[in-house]
Amino acid sequence: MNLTIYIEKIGSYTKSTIEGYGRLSIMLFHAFSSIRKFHLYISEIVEQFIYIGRRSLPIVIITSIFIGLALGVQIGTQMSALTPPWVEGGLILRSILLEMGPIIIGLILSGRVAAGIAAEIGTMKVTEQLDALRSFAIDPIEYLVMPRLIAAMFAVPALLVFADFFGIIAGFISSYFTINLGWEGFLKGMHHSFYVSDVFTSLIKAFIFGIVIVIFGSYFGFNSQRGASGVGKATTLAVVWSSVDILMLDYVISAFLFFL
Amino acid sequence: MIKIKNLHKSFGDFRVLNGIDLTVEENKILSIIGKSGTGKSVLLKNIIGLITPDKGRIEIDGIDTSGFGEEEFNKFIRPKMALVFQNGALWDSMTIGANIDLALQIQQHLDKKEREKRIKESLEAVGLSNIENVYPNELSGGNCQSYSNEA
Repeated sequence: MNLTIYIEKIGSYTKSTIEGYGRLSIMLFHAFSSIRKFHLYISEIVEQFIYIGRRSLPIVIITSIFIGLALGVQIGTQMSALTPPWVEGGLILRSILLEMGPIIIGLILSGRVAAGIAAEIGTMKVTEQLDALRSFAIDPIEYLVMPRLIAAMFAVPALLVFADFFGIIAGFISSYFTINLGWEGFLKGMHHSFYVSDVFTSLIKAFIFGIVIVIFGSYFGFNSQRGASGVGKATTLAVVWSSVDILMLDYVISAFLFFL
Repeated sequence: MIKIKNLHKSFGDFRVLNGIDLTVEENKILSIIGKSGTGKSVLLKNIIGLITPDKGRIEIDGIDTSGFGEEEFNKFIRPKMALVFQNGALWDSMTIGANIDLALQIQQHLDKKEREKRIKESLEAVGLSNIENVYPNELSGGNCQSYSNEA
């Protein structure tokens, strides 16, 4: 008896999750098809670029520095005595470029940007501001989602460049103090492990994560329930689901590009 | 002219509109009075297409809106109408001037000079000029509704 209830619950949850992804895909398609009208929203796009990009820069730099420092210590202390120290340069480079950079950026922006978007749109919904937009014959997705989407597609890869740079420099400083690895050795290690394709992989991930952050924040904002608790719940869901999807997509993109 | 015939709308088991028949002649003013929760706002939202009726027919200036989507409402119905929401529903992140400017910019594609002129005129029309740079949360509820109407 209990088992039947659990199976029913799992089935119902799976069904609603699939339906949610369906509605989210329709919203994404709608937002992308609105891009042709981007010239009407230049000031909104610039404003969103500043919000997503410039205002996230300090936290992205601080986090990248500490991730780089931690990586330097962890890799340095775990290398065997037979491994040449300069190898650490390459390990730090590839770790930051391929995984740590995009993932850290994605998760930080989920917390900062997706939550912000969900709260803003959710509040607009419960105070009838979205209905007011529609009554003016203004498409809320075109006005609220599309400018954020364009801004994120440029801002997130730009933030990644900063995150990678500061992460690698911090990794070098940490390696210097952990295993006394000099700049020349660090450069040699990076040179041995560097592939241009890694830079593209990293940028593609950041580009896609930017889309995920905006679309999840917007989706949960638009589906926010009444009242302050409804907006709070929408914000939490936006952060949780965008973070989970970023981690899933990170694997999918890595695997896809590896087999390509 | 607005003609409504046998309009029904329910939210779950809660029946809000139960077979409304109504005609609003051109150049006539009609007041709808009722207790809170009796469906006055729901009726207006049905007319402007923010809510889809379960059953019934709404005709505006001879155009039957049954089966209309967002695009058709945006093209044929909404530009002719103004709806003032209960709490003003002004965009609180923008100043009063920017609120009025938004529709003029996106919907009517007017240039900046013309928009500034229209904003000034519309604020003067409700007797509350020189507050273009004030935010909605700095206004009283009544003033919010006046600006919302102008927007």
